[in-house]
Amino acid sequence: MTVTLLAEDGTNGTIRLEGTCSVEDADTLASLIFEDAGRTVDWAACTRMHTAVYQALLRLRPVVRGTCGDTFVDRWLPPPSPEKRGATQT
Amino acid sequence: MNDLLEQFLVETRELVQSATEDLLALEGRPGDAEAVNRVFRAFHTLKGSVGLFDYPPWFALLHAAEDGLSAARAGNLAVDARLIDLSLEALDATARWSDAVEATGRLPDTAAGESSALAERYRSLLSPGPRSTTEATGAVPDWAARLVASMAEAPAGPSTAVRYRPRGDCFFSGDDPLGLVRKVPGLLAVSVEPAMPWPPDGEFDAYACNLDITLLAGAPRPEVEAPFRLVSDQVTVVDVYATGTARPSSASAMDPVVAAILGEQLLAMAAPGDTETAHGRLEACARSAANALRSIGRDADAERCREALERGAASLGPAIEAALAGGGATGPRSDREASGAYERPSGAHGGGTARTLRVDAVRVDALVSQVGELVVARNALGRLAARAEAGENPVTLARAIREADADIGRLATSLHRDAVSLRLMPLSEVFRRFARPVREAARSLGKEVRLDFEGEGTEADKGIVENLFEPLLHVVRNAVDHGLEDTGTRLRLGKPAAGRISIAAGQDGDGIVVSVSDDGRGIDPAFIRRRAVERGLRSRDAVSAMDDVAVTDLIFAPGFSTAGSVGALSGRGVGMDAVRAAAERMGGRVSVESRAGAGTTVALHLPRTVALARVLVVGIGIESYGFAMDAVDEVVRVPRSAIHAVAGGAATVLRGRTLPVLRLADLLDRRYSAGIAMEALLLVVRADGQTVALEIDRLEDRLDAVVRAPSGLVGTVPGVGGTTTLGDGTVLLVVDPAALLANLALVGQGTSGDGR
Repeated sequence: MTVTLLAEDGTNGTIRLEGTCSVEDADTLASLIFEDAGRTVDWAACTRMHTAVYQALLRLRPVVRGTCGDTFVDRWLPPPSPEKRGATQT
Repeated sequence: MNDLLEQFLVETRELVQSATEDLLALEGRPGDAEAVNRVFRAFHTLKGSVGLFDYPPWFALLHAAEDGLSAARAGNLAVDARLIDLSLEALDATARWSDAVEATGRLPDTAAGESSALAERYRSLLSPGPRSTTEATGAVPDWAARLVASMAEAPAGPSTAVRYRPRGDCFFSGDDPLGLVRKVPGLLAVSVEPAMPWPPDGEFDAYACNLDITLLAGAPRPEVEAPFRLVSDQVTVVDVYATGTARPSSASAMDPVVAAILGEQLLAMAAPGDTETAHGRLEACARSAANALRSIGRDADAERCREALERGAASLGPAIEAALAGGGATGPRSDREASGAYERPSGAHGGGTARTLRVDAVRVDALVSQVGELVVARNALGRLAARAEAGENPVTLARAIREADADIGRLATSLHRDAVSLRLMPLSEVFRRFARPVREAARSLGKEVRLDFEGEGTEADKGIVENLFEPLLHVVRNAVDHGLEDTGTRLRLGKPAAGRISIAAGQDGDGIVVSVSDDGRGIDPAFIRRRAVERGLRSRDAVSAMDDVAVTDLIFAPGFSTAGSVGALSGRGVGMDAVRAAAERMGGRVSVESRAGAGTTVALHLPRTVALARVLVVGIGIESYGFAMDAVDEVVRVPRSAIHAVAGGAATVLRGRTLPVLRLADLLDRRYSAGIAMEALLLVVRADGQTVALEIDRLEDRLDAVVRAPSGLVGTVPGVGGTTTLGDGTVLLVVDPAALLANLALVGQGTSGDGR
């Protein structure tokens, strides 16, 4: 399991992506965001993201925290959250 | 223009010329494998030379052409009109681009589009089946334009844009579309967007892919396409070139140099002048403008300027202005169609500027003073004629004529020598071109290489020096690729990490020897034996009977390539047989020496000049052959009883030396019966450190002659090093003793004398 929900006081919780996030993780991630759209996503520890996972983020646009640990995503793909969209595009 | 570029242009034109001739010959005889080979080699060499400079579209075209011809050579692609036409078009483009590079230092703006169109046609010849959808080049689709626009600055060179719309169910088949994008080399930009508008909130299928991925990459198209080969039905690829996003024919796409030239012509036409010179000036302006336009591939505009000239000054000005503004210029394709017949003149112009020769002034001075002496010597003839008319005694007159003849002969000889020396150029011209290919070869193989030069001041005829690069490059690449071990292996063997390659030149009697040595693994005779048998070059028995030296020499046999696989660098099988062929074309030969574990030296022995040689004419049967006098030690008559049969041949003892005796007729494969005279006439010749006695029937003549490298049919006669024309117009074959004996050694009978 590389998608984990961390419950923290005073927040809606953080969805943490860790290590290799495969195609199966996309559904888990989508369900967690659907349950509570206020949850933020922390992708700093994700080292390899499957297309399906990125698609889920692109579709559901949660607030994403940190720099993506997957260097390809960090370098080439815009972070999906509305506030930062386009910020790192070259 | 720097020397390197100048050399490159000269060589390129020659290669285009020879490949064009071969292609045209192939039209008549599609089965001529050697011609296919030569065309392939020409493209191979062109590609290598273009690779020295920064012309990516040109390189891409030649690369595609090489692939096509490589398939034709291997028999995987028919040599038909399509391939020949396409290859001729590729050569045409190459010729035009070299003219453009000479004129402006850069490729025409249309080159990238033309290159990718031609390359695509080669690719479609190779794989006629359905391919990834390819959109017409020239018009960049919107999605690609958006991608380019999204970048902070436009890509510097040509790039490749890919649009990848994965199938909706691709996740189920295990695809990771972005995983493919990760593998694209030279990424410049990536964009991921929903392919269709997302369904309303609350409905989201994480397992259905709804993405439209576009990317831009700076790597060559085949490399960019490679990761997507399994999903090619979902991919669209287009070429985007530097100015491609701007409209190709707009003024901003025009070369600033050309724009400046056009501007100058307008100014010149506007300047006041008398009516007498007006037309000439107009013509000059039109010609300059047309040439400048043609140099950037705007042939239609060039043609328009030429037509406008016929209508007079009032039309020419607006025509040039229109060209400057980019008005009326159409795409590259229609340009070429419109101009059709008009492309030739620019080619002829290019040919005329290519032949230049830089000569030391001292040499010209010496030549001039000798011509002065010749004029004086000629005056003597007039006086002699007057003395003859006065009825002088024929005996004294004859002596005077002989003296005058000797004088003029001496002058003619030294004039020839000095004139030939005008063509001498130092080998450094060739040597310095190796630094870059060696560095790149080493880098692409992950090896460290130190390149040394020696004797680069050695001089040889321009014809030799200019033709040396190609064969030498093959040898050097082979040394880097196959000769040198990788760094790890070298360290393990206690060798320095950096491999050493040394290119050396020196005098070798009348000729020069250019060698390439490496300190690599050497050539393993056992491997060569095995490979020669595998390739069907020799039978198993034959190779085991050959000594190691003869076996090593097999690397020059046609069809022998030591590369286990086709490397980017060498090993396409154009290897060493091409080197031997090139050396022989220049009237030389090539040899190899190798010690397992210690390295290999390949040496090209070449004539230095096309020199006057003293030739001894000998006869066998009804034929005559020439021998270079330098190679002949002596001519002796020995009684037949002094020639003894020994194992594998005959031998005689001459002044305490045992010499093998061979019949020249046998060596040249002429069937004349053995002499029956009591005495045998022996020509003692020396070559390659061997001395042998050749039995001939008679001595005929000795003469001074210009020996030319054999060509045409004569080139295939074994042992013949050149030809010379006799006073009566007949052609004399001049035997090269070294080649004669080398052939003998190849046969592997070890007849090399025991009395060296």
